Amino acid sequence: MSSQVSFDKLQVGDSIPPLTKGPLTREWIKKYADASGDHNPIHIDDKFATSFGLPSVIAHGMLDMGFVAQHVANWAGLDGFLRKIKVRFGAIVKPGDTVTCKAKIKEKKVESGKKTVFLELWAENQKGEQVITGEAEVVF
Amino acid sequence: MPGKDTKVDLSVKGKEYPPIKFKVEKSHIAAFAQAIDDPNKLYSDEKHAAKTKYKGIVAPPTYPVCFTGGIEMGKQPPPPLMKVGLDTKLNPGLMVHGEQEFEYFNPIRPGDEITSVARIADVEHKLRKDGSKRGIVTIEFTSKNQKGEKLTVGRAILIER
Repeated sequence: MSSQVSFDKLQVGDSIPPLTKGPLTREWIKKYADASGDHNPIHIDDKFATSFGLPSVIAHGMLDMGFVAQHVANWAGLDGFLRKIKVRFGAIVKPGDTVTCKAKIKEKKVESGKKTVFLELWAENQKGEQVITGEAEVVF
Repeated sequence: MPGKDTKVDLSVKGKEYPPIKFKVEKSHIAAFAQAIDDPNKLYSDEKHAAKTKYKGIVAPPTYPVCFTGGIEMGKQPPPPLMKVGLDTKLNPGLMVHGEQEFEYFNPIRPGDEITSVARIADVEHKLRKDGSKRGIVTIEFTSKNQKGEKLTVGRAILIER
């Protein structure tokens, strides 16, 4: 989990090992609702969600972002500090879906002794549809 | 058929909200990490965390969502994101959480008493493909601990579809 990443060995264009989460379940989404405090019925109540035109309850976007942040932060390990993460939400995630988090190195920069890696990141469901796209900065 | 033009009020840009307080509990950090199924022991194992450079348990990266408020319907008083939605006249039937960003300055730790201030950082009207206008609102939350140290800045972008 806390992989040893060496800044000097990283190369622009390198991919980091992917992380697959799920399949998601209603219980899992409910657990996240309780932990995060976001009990919006579109995440908990199928009847309510379908009345909104959704196929079923959906996972919180912030849970999907939690997966992506887990992926990057645990790759960075104890030597890297996640300085910034930004995501755009795409396709919805619902029970039964898996989410695979991927990232590659976009840029490396050394400025006044501070070593920063800029990552391009995304997450896709089992059909290959993007549920999240974004970027992150990790300081080593 | 073209969509309706947005009613989002451009004049609320810069509006600041009263501070929200939040106390961080060790058990809640662990429960939050468990809800993501994040096995990193930094979030739950005191002994392990004490031996790292963090010298103790810290919160996972998306934990600030717990104190900056989800969009909870029917809760009184409305939590910040919902309140911002109302104040800016974002159409709730069209509104989606389009983007989210966090910047990290100092770790969040058990026992922290966090104060967050929400500000409407930006309000825009943008054209849809059909030529109608939609509203886009950026809310920025700045969170500090009891020592006044800046912990995180979060930015949520709410978009009318």
